[in-house]
Amino acid sequence: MSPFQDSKRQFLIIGLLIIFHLLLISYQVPLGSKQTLLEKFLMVVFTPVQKVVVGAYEFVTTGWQDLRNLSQLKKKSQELEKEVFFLRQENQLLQEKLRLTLSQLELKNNLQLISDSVIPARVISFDSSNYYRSAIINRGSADGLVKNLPICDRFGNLVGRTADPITPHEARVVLITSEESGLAVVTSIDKLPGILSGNGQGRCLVKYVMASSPAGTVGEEILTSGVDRVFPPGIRIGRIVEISFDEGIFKKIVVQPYFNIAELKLVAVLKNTNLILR
Amino acid sequence: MVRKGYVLGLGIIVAVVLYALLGQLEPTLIILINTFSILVLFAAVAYGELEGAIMGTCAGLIQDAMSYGVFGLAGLSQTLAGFLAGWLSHKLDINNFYRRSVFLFFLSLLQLVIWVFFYSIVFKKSLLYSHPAFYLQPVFTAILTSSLISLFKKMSPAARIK
Repeated sequence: MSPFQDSKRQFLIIGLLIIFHLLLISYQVPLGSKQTLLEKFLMVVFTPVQKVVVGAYEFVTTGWQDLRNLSQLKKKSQELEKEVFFLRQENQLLQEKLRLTLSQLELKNNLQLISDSVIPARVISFDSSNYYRSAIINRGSADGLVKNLPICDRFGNLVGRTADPITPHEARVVLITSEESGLAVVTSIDKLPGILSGNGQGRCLVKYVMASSPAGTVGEEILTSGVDRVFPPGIRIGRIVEISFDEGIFKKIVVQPYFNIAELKLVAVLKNTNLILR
Repeated sequence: MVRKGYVLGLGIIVAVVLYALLGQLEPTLIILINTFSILVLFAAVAYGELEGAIMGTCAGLIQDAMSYGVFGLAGLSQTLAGFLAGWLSHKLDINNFYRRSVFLFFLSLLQLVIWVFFYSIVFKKSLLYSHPAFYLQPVFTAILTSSLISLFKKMSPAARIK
């Protein structure tokens, strides 16, 4: 084949590849937020790779950490025993209080429901275009996950909610720092209601609060209000770090979330929010 | 001589594993070090424009699949960057490490610009101010890819790059 024909063939191939990509992009865009079969298939194919890598990394780091901490194991074990002792006491006291209002059978069923409602999960990857936008966890529809379930970190602070695509063993989580998130919130002191959304850069904004409203102070805590019927009320979200008045008739309230994305390895999925919303 | 297919196949596997690992170590690292860009530019300079374009398609689509955004965005930008890198490397003298790094810096910047441009069209918002690490990606890509090519030249003297 002559160099000219070779060059022509190469440009033809690159042209076809570009057209292929443009068709692929244009096929997805009109569907908006609905996930295509192709996307679900690719998620099923690639997330196990990430799970294997994460698992191997955790195995190596945990093993190394254990070796280094052998000398401190006894001390840690004693501290954990003490913590478990106090948690048991607290649990017993709370159960006693509940017994005053509920019958024994109701109490047993409620406690069983609560323990069945929380599913631990591991974060296996973040969105590379903007890691404050979404993450993938290693639980899916096989574990009973559906769309719009609240996700909390290991301290009980709100992280986000489940969203499509959800495969049998993985699910996407839209973080509260994402611009596509939206939840009903309330301030802890003044009980000021608002809608919280992410700014895509690690912080959140409380929207639609009138500039003339006196409520909302720097340092005040933000909690879920439960009004949206998605997130149970009273879950900690973050603290107000800035209030400004350059958004027309509304205040601009900036919230620093409590969850730390760099330490987000284990999360809890609240599977049965109906129990808490009742 | 190291066989092309094995090198590129292994390259894809290493890129996927490193991408997943970097995300676990620190989320900022996956913005700073785009393993798929490194692979595409390496394939383009080491083997040619066609290999660069095809590797750009494969690596770009894998990157899209792992970022859970619109499928094809990274594929398009990586395909174009891979083709241009291969085609221009044939016409320019990029023997020298520093010259090659500058060349790869501009190609990586071009790839990023194309990606950000199409992202802003599809999502109607700009990524330009999303994270400062974004602006350092071409630098890291250029240095790492150039180093990888130097290493490859030593291991495979009969390779296309001289």
